[in-house]
Amino acid sequence: MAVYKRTYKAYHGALTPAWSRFTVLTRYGLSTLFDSRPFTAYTVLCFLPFLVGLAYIYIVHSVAAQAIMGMNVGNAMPGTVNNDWFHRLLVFQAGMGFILAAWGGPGMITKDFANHSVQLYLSRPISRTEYLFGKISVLAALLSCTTWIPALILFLVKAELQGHGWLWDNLWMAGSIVLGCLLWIAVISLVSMAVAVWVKWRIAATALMLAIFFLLPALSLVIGAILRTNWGFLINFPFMITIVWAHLFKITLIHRHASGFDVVPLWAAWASLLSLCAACFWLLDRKLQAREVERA
Amino acid sequence: MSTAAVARAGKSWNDVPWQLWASQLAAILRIEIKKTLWMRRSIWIYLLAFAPAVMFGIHALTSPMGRNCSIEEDTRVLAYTFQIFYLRVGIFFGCMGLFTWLFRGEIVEKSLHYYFLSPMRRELLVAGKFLAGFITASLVFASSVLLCFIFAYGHFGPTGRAFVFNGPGFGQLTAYLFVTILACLGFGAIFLALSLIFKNPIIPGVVVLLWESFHAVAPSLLQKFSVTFYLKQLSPVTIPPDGLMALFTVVAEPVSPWLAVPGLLALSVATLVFAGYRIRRTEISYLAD
Repeated sequence: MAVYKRTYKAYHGALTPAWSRFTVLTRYGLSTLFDSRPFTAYTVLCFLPFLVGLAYIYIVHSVAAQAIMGMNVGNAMPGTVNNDWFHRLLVFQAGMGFILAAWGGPGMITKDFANHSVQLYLSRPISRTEYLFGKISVLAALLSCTTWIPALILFLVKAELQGHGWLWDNLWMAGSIVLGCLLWIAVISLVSMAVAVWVKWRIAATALMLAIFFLLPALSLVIGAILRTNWGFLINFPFMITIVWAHLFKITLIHRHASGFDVVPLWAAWASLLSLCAACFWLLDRKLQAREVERA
Repeated sequence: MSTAAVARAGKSWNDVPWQLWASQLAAILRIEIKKTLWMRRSIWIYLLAFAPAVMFGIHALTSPMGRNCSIEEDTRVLAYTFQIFYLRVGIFFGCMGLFTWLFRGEIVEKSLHYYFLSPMRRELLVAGKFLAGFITASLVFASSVLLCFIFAYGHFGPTGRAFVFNGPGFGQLTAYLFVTILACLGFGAIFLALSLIFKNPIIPGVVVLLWESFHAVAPSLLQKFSVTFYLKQLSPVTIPPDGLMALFTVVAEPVSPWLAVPGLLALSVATLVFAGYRIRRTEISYLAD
C-alpha cells in the first residue's frame, strides 16, 4: 500500500504508567550498554571482589575449610572481617565501578545531544526530570549491583556465620554501606551526565571524567605544597569521599599528605561533595532547557 | 614481479621527492598548529598547564623576598610539583587531549576525508600532525614550567638570582625544560598511536595512566617499559616515594641519561612507525563517534 493511502490514527493501546515511564529509558540504556561484549566482560569482572570476599568470609568461619587448606589460625581470623574490611572492599569496588561509569556513562547521553535528538524524547509524555532520571538510573542500577548490594549480601553472610548478636551490634555498618555507596553513586552518575552534556563528545567526556578524578587530586596536592594549605584538598573529590566514608565506617584516617590534625574537616568534605553535585545539577538543568533555534 | 614493483625497489635515495614532502609537511604543520594552539577549544590546555604557575605566582606575591619560605624549601616544592603534577598527570592529560584530537577530532568534525583525498602520503600526515601536536604541547608546558621556575625563585630577589645564575638553578631549569619536552614526545607518540587503534582511546589511556603511576612497584625490568621511569631519572631533583607506595616501591638500577634519552626517542619513533603503518589501512567511519 502506498504511504499516502495510509490513514493514521491515535494510539489506543495500553499506556505505560506515568510513574514508571523513565524505566523505558533505563531498559534501553542497559540493553545498549550490554551490546558491547568488552563492557559485559568488564561488568562480570566487577563481581570478582564480591566472590573473593564471599570465599574469604566462608574460609575464616569454616574450620574444615581451613584444615583442607592447611591453615591453622584458630579463632583469630573471623575478627578480620570488620568495619575496616568492608571499607577496603567498598573502596576497591568503587574503583572498579568508576571505570564502569567512565566507560558506559558518557556514551548514553552524548549521542542524544550531539545528534540533537533530545527533543524526540521530550516530545513524548516524559519530562526533563524523568529523562535525566531514566539515564542516571542506568548507572545507578549498574553501580548498585556492583557495590552496596554485594556488600550487603556479604554483611548478611558474615552475620549468619558469626551469630551471637553480631548483626545487631554492627547494624550501623549496613547503614554506612548503603549511605556511603549511594553518595558515591550520586556523585559519579551526576558528574558523568554533566560532563557528557557539556562536551557532547563521548571521548572527551570520558577524558574529562578521568581528569576530575585523577588530575584534580594531583592539582590539590600541588596547591597544598605551594600555598602551604590543606584547603586545596577540597577539589580532591576521591579524598573527600574517603573522608566521609572513613567517618561512616568509624575508621581513623591517616592521610600521607596531611600533617596530623590538619586534614579537611568532615563538614568541608560534605560541602565539597554536595557543591559538586549542585554544580552538576545546575549544568544539567541549563543544558536540558528548551530553547528556540533560529535557522538562517 | 610487476614493473611498478621493480621500479619502486630501484628507487634511489635521490629520487625521493624530499622537496615536495617538506612543503606538504610545512602545510600540515601550519594548519594543525593553528588548529591546536589558537582555537577556543584549546583554552583547557592553557588552564591545565598554567594552573601551577598561577599558584607559584600567588605564593610569590604573598611571600615577597622569601619572607615565609627558603630556597631549599621552594626547590623541593618545585621538584614535587614537577614530578607529581606535570610528569604524572599534567603532561599526560594534555597529550591525551591534544594528540587524541588530532585524528579523532577530524572524525568528529567529519573532515578527515579531505586529508585522505589529497595527493599526499598518509605517513606524512601522521608525521605532520604529530609534529604539530608536539610543538604545541612542548611550547605550552615548557612555558608553564619556565613561569613556575621564575615565580619560585624570582621572589627571593638577589639571593634567588644568585641561586639561578651562580648556583645550580640554571642547570635545573634546563633539565626541567628538557624533561618536559621529552615527556611531550613520549606521551604524544603513545596517544597518537592509541587514537588510531581504538575508537575510544581513553579507556586504554586509563591503563597507561595506571601503569605510569604505579610502575614503581613492578620488577625493575618491567619498569623500563614506562615513560615516567626515564623521565624521573632525568629530573634534576629527586623526590623520594612516600606513604603506602614507598613500602612497595622496587628501586631499579638508575639508567644513564645517555641511555634514557635515546631509549625514549626509540620508543617514540617505534610508536610513530607503527602509527604510520596503521594509518595506511585506516578506513573512515563517521558513524563511530
